[in-house]
Amino acid sequence: MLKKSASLDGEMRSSIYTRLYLISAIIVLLFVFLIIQIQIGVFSASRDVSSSLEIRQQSIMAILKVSGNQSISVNSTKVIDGASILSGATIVTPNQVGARVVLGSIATLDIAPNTTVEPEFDRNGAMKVTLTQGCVILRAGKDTEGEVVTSRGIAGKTNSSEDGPLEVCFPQGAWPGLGIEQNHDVGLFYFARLAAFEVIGGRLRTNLSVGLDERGSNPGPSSP
Amino acid sequence: MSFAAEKATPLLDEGREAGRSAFLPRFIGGVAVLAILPLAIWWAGRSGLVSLLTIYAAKTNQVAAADAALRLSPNDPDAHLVRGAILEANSVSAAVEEYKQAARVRPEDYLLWLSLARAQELNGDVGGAIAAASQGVRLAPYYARPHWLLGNILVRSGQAAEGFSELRLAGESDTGLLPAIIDLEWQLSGGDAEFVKRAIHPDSPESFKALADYFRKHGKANDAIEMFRAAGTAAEQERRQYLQELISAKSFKEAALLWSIDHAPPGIGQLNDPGFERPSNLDEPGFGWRRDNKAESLTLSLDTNNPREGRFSLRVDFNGVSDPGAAIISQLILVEPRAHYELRFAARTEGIVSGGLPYVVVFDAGSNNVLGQTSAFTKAKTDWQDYVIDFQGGESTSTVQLVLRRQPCSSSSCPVFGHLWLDNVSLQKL
Repeated sequence: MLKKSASLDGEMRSSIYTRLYLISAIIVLLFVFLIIQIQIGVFSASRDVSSSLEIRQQSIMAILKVSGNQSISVNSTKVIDGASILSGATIVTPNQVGARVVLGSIATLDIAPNTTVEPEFDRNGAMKVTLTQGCVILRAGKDTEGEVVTSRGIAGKTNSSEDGPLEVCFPQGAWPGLGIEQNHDVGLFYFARLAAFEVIGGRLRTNLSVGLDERGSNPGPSSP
Repeated sequence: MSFAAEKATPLLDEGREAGRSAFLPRFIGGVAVLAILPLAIWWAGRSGLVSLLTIYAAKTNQVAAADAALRLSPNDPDAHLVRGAILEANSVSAAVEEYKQAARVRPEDYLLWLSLARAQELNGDVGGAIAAASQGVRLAPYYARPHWLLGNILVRSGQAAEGFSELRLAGESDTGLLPAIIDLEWQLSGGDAEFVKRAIHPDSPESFKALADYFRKHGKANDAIEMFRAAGTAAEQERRQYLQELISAKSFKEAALLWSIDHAPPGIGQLNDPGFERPSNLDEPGFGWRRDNKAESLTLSLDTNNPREGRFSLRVDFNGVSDPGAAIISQLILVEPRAHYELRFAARTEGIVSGGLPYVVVFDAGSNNVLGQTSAFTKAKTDWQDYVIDFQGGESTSTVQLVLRRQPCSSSSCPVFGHLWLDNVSLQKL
């Protein structure tokens, strides 16, 4: 009896241990499965979020430069310096405000105040500028075909061998003195210089407590 | 007394000693001040001269002036900034070095980092540009411009999701930038309104309104209405303007959707307040009663005296000249295309005198074709009389307009006098 009871005890013990092992294994497996599921879920969710904002087609974009805190109109919306310009955008500069569109090494387009223009460009190094009114200077890089078109037809094409700028006003008239400069080397300078001047001017204003300046202390989230 | 005299002498002596001993520090202090003063004057003069040269360089585009300023003060960030701006015309890489110097000297100035970021991107160093703009964002996280610049650089570099995230923060800080941000996303997504909504992730009335306005201008009426609805009470005025636009464009289905944000939705074949039982704004565009004829000689009111049904009837008082072609009162009603309807109402008149008598007409609101009309109301005083207009719209008829107006006059001046009551208007599909 004692023997039997001991053997029974041992069997019971081994049976209990086996069950415990089994239960533990199942729990571990469930945890592993759960973790895998969570990871897959998180991964796919994050992939959904990031892919949902991927643009359909990589577009070539130009950089807009506008001096200081001024703004111009692109596709009938107000934009400021640093904006991205897509091919075919309608750019309108107001009175007293010029702008520059920089397309990497392909081309640079200086736009005078009171000008309406539509630059079209592609990756192959072609830039066509449709000038509705006002004045522009188009500088095309090497191997770039640049042309300015008005309602009267092609107003001019850039000469890539000479890398010279193409200056066009439509309708024909006096070249505006403010915001765009005919000197071939100072167009970019004009915008950068204005920006720098504004930075320094802003500091002087702050120091003299003459007026409010953008570069003051960083505002809180409630008062940007 | 004697005690005081005895003590007074040594006290005076001590005062002299103290005065002598205090003279030395004062003297040394004075000499030090005299020595420091010229230094301070020199320092102030040099700072002033550096500022003058820097501003002169910025104004005249002379790099020599910026160089002179830097010779006087090699670590002046403004002079480096201006020199960089001048050099940028011919050498962006040289400008980048100057901007780096400026940012190194004054690293807490986010604008210097943004200048560096711009130049680095132009120089083809997109990674450096992103790093510099990110530093600008860290220094001024609640300003719009750093987020704007970083967002645009990221988008241009192909990191659209990250770029849109930064642009969203720029839009939150400066809602004036939202239209430009929306336009960029719209252009890049090929006019995908859902994409734009996800990218902007609107959560304020301003952002909802900005999206609604953009969609409105780009012919996405349903998306615009969804955004106008989400904007809540802050967009009531804009909703009213858009409602007028949709009605003028004869987009009645969308107009009804927009109208239902602030009113009970107009049902097919259902009139709004058919018994003239409640006051309403007759100038509001939409699917309620509306007065187009603004002549002062016309007065419209709710009359409690002898209504045909309910508590009120509509009373129209004619007191002189008014445009006979303009609607005295009208209502747009949604209907089923090609369906046959019967419009019933009651009217009574009193002392109407005119060459152009009033009558009721039903138009196809889309085509302006007359679908049915009553004869002119009688001039004599009458009791309530029932009128019926049977009409059937065409294939494209989705909305009809019920109009009370006058017959045209033979003469240019067309006065009218008297009183008219309307009540108990109903529309039934046959």
